[in-house]
Parts: sequence; structure tokens; C-alpha cells
Amino acid sequence: MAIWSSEGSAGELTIKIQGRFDFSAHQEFRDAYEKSSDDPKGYVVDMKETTYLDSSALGMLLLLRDHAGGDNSSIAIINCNPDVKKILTISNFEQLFEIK
Amino acid sequence: MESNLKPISSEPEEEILRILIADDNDSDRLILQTIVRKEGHTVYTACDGQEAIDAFKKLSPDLILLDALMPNVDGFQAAREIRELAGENLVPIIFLTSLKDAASLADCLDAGGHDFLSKPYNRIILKAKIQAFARMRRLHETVQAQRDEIVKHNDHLVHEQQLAKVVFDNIAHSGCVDAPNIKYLLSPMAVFNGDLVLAARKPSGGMYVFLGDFTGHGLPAAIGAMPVSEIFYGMANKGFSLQDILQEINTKLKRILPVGVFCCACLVDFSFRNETAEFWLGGLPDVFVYRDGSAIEHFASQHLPLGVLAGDKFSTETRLIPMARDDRFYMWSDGILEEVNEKEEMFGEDGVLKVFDRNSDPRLFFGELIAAVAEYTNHAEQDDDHTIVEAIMVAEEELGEYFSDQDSRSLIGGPPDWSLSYRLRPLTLKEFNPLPLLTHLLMEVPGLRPHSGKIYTILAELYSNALEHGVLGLESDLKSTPAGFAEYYLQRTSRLDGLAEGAVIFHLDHKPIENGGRLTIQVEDTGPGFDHGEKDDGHKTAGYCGRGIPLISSMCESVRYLGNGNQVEVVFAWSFDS
Amino acid sequence: MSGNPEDHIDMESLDDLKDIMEDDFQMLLDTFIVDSESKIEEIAGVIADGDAEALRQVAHSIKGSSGNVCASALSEVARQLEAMGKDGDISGAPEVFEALKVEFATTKDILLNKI
Repeated sequence: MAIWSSEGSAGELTIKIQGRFDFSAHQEFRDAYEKSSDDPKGYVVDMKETTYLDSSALGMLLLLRDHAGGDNSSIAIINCNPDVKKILTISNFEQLFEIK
Repeated sequence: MESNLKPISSEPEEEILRILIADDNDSDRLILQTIVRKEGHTVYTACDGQEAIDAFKKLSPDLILLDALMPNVDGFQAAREIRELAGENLVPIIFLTSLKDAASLADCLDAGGHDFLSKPYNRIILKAKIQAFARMRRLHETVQAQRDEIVKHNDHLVHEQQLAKVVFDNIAHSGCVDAPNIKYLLSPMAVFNGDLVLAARKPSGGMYVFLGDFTGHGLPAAIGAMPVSEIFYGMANKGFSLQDILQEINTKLKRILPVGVFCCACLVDFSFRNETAEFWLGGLPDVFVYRDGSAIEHFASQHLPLGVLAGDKFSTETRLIPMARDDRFYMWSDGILEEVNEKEEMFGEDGVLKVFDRNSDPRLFFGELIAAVAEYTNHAEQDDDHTIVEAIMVAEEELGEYFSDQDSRSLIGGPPDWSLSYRLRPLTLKEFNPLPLLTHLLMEVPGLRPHSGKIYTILAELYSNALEHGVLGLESDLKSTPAGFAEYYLQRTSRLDGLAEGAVIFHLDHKPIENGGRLTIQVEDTGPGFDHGEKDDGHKTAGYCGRGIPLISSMCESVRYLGNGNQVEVVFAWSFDS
Repeated sequence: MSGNPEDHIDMESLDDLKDIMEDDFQMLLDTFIVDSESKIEEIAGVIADGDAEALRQVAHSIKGSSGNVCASALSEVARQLEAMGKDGDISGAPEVFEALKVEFATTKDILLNKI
């Protein structure tokens, strides 16, 4: 499991998660958005290389959403593989996040 | 929990040690002894290996300088025995040797030596080595002490968790989860798991079944289960609707749980009489319905888990499906689907469907599924909590015995057949609002709670009529103008203050009837009454109008005035299905 | 006595040793001399018996203790004897043993002078 974050040209913060996204990623994931220098305009969670997602990862996404302003947040989750997408769908996270 | 772990080391660089020197050569021993003593350490000496072992037993020194080649027992053998005696304590052994070849030096370490020192002795190296081993020894002691401390803390924690689990199990897996139409499997990953199975019968005879899966595992996951369970049983037993229960649980969880902790859940309302299941599904895998042993339907989650959305955004929209006798409803936490085999492939929905395919007798499906998962994972330790619930649509009679036991228990708090009279005299009329008390009393009737709003309205209208028009003699005509409206309430206050006589009397009577009950409410006052001659013709007379009576009429089976109009009787008939 | 004391003993280290041992220095030297004399006698015996392993052990001991009193030349002769014992061929031992006795006598003289 590894997490990278980078700031994009439109002022958005992209967080990439490689491997299993579960509780062990907790601190790293938080660091990825809490330590970003200035307030990003939006967030992109790139799951291209995410193999697995568990319920604590869903919790972490909710924490990010809270951090990003709750209902006013703009968070896109992109490049989900079918397994990851299924888990997000079961939990109806498309109501809270833009899933692409 | 407090921690007494000591810091690794804050002790002085130079430590005084008790050092055993074992060397058969007198002059060598003398030199070494002198050097070591001058460093401030306490020195014991031995002239051969056996003496060294004996001295170790007697004196337990902190460090041993051991000559390799000695008569009787040599240094290698002595080192082995001393290590054996020391057990888990670290006693550094430094071999003294003029052997130079690598193999001999390796022998020293193999025998349990920690280091070696070549002859002729170099004072500075000797001093450095002694101090290095003093530090190592201290470190070892600290690690040991910390380990012991951790073991102690862990034992304590496990003990606490075991006690807490007893409480948790009593709360979380209670109600009628053991009813004959329910099967469930809860396999805890830790002592606690994040999964919750609750079942309660409804006063109307149906049954609520709840499966919850909290984010995470262990104690944090289990804590959220307490309020859920409490709300579920409290509300289910009082006849609250599925929507009310969900709303309440969601609101509570949203309020108390930290962001990121939530509860994936399914709440099902089984109506045995209507042969339907109404369910709400949020965040759990698809639920399955297995119909008459052949057809399988599954339904996907429509909602976010409980505890995520604020109350106004939370949706309690449900699905209602018909369920024939012996149809089976399955729900599970994601743990079972995420079980992996040796190739790290998940069991998944496909795995479940394969078990359905193979099944020939629905009664065996539950067991077959559990066996299939165990086989798939090769009986390895499970990764997640996995919880499976099966609920079967049965005829209500089939649950008869089970539920009749439940009945007699729940009736302790719920009287269905009773009457009472309640007379409120001036002092009480002045200072006390009897409506909450009476409503509360009525809500103890099993099944009546969903009607609490209507009942409160009826009681409130009848009471204010009796008090204001009957006892206080206020004319409702007065309220027809804005000025009169204010005047009306001024007079109400002053007349009530000066009230010396008069009373309002409630007569409540509840009788159970088939699938519901009849509540008769009579309210009588000590006023003069009014002409209610046209009462049976409808709601047209001036006497009726403006007295809130039309509202009551729309809610009740009948409204009648008795006596000289100072007495009104309404009958409220209700059923579990209404 | 033959030649320069430095050829037999590392005098600088011996001075250090004297400083370290202080009052015990004489006792150390006495111990060394008594011990070595008894070992030399032992060597005579083991060579006569043709016991290579015993020779190795005693020579090893002298090598170590002479090294510790800075008698480097004596230590070197003892090492040669030890090596013979280890190899199991002690045919040349009597000759080296003679050299050892001579070296010990020299060493002893120098050490006693030091007190």
C-alpha cells in the first residue's frame, strides 16, 4: 500500500492510492490531505491502482469529505476497478462523491 | 489505562558492575582483575570452568570474562551451562583468548559468548566492551520489563473485554433472534465484532429483523451497537414504524459517532399476516430472497449506511415485496463475500449463487453456505466479521408457542383491558396539565403508540372544552374577533385563578378486540351543560361548532353527548394494521 | 643477558602495566615467573612423553601470559611450540624448548630489574 498526493494545475489535490486501501492506510491518507499546503479547490481520489477497499476506507473517504467542507465539498473518485466500484455502489457513495 | 513503561535509558554512562573473571592462568587473571577493579567494578574470580559455573550460581554477576581454554570444564562448556542457568536474563559473556584463527573465535560465539577479547589485553578496548555490554544488559532488562508490563496490560484488557462482551451479547443478540424462523451466524473476529443482529416482534404480530455492520472491528465497533440495540428494542416493542426506527437510529448514530464510523444495515419488517417483507437496505451487500426452493431474487442497497447523513437528508424509503409461506430472506455483512481463498480471490456473490445452484433443499441452504465458505477459505482464520441471517416467512401460528411466551412477558408493561376514572379538582385544574400523564398511560397499551398523535388531539380538545366551557363557563363565541380572542384568554386565566369549585372527570376504558382495540373516552364537567338535542343529526348546531368537535369526529368511530350536555363520549377504534 | 632489552620485552607497554598494577606489579611478576617456571618443567615432561596435545596446551598458556607481561619474544617462542603441538609433529620441539628456556631466563632478568 502506498499513497501519493500531488497538486494539479486547476488547484485540485490528487490523492493516489496503490494496493489495498484499508485501515493500515489511515495515517498516510490523512496526511495526504491534511498536509497539503493551501486549500485545494477540489479533491481527486485516484483509485487506478487500488486493488481493494474496505469499510474503514469508506470511513476515511467520509473524513476527507468532512475535511473538504462536507456537503459543500467537491471530491471525485476516479479510475475505480469493478470491485472497488461495486463496494462504493453498495454503500451508495455516489450520493456523496462524484464517481467516475 | 495507565502505563508505567520506563524510558529506555537515562542512566549514567559509567555503571558499576559485578564482574566474574575466570582464567586458569594466575598472572593473566591478576592483570585482568587489576584492570577491571581500577575501572571501579566489583570483581569475583574463578580458576576454571567449574568454578565459574559455581560462582555464577552463587553470585549472579552482571558480566563474565571467561578464558576459553581452561582445565576441568573449559570456557565453551562453562558458557553453555551459564546461558542455560541464566534463562531469559541476559548475562553477557566475553571470551578471553589468545586464539587467533577465525574458527576458534567463531567457536566462542557458538558456545554462547557475546564477544571476545584477545590477549594481550588492551585496557581501552576492555573498558569500552564492558560499558557496551552494560548498556546492552540494561536495554535487555528494560525490554523485559516492558514486555512483562505489556503482557500484564494485555491480560487486563482481555479480561475487561470478556466482561464487556457478556454485557454486549446480552444487549446485541437479544430479543427474538432465537425465534424458530430465524437462523443466524455471528463469528467474532476479535472478542467483539462490529456486527449486530437484532430481532423483535411487533405488537401487531409481525417481526423486525435488523443486521448491522459497523466500520472497523473490536471495541470501537461494538460501542455503536449499544444505542442501536436500545433504540431498536425500545421502539419496536412499542409499535413504532420501520421509518421511525430508522430515522431515530440514524439521527442517534450521526450525533454520537465520529465522522468515518458508520453502520451498514438492513432492517426488515416481516408481516406474517400479509405475507410481505418491507425492508430498508443501506451499505450492506445485496439481500437475497429464495422462493419455494427455486427462484432467487436479489435486491441491491439503495441507501448510504446509517450514521452518515443528517436527519433531513436521510431517506427512509423502503421496498415492499411479497413473500409466500416458506420463502427465505437472506442478509449478510460483507465479510462473507470478501472471504478469500489461497489465491486471494474473493468468495463473492458468485460463490453464494453457486451454493444456491447446488442446493436441493432450502432448509439445508444456511448450513451449506457456511460449509462452502469454510471450504473456500480452507478453514483459515477469517479476515472480517461474517454474519449471516436467514429469516423464513412462516404462518403466524407456527411461531405461536414462541411468541406466546414473548406475549406474556411484554404484557407486563402493556395492559390491554382496563378502565379508569380520573377526577381533577380545582387545585389540580389550576396547576396541572393532565394530558401527558393520560397519554403516557394510554401508550402502555400494546399497539396503541402509533396512534398517540390522534389520541393526544382527542384528549386535548375534550379537556379544553370541559374546562373552559364547562367549569369556567367561557363562551366560545367570544373568540370570533381578535379582541375577543385576547379577552377570552384573559378571562380564562382570571377565572382559573379564582376557581373554588368544579371538576373535570375523565373515564377511560380500553378493551382489546380482534386485531386491535376500542378506547372509550368520556369527559364530564361540573358545568351546566348545553342543549345537545340535535346531536345525532350531525355537526350543524351552534353548540357543536367552534368546539373542535368536527376534528374529533373525523378521528373517531363515534362522538356522543350525554346527560345535559356536560358529558361527552368518544369511541376510538384502532387495529394493528391501521 | 644478550642484546637490547627491547628485543625481548616491549618496555613501553611494561611501563604502562607497572602503572596499572601499582603495588601489585611485583606480585604479578612473581606470579608470572613462578607460573612460567612450573610450566617450563611441565613442557620438559610432555616432550619426553611425546604428548603433542599437552604441549600445545601448556605452550598456549605461556604464549598468553608472556604476552600479557609484554614479553613478546618469549610469547613468540611459545607460539612456535604451540604450533608444533597442534601439528602433531614435535620432533623439532626439544630444540625450540631450549630456546624457550634461554628466552625465559633473559626475560626474567629484565623483569626483575624492572622492580
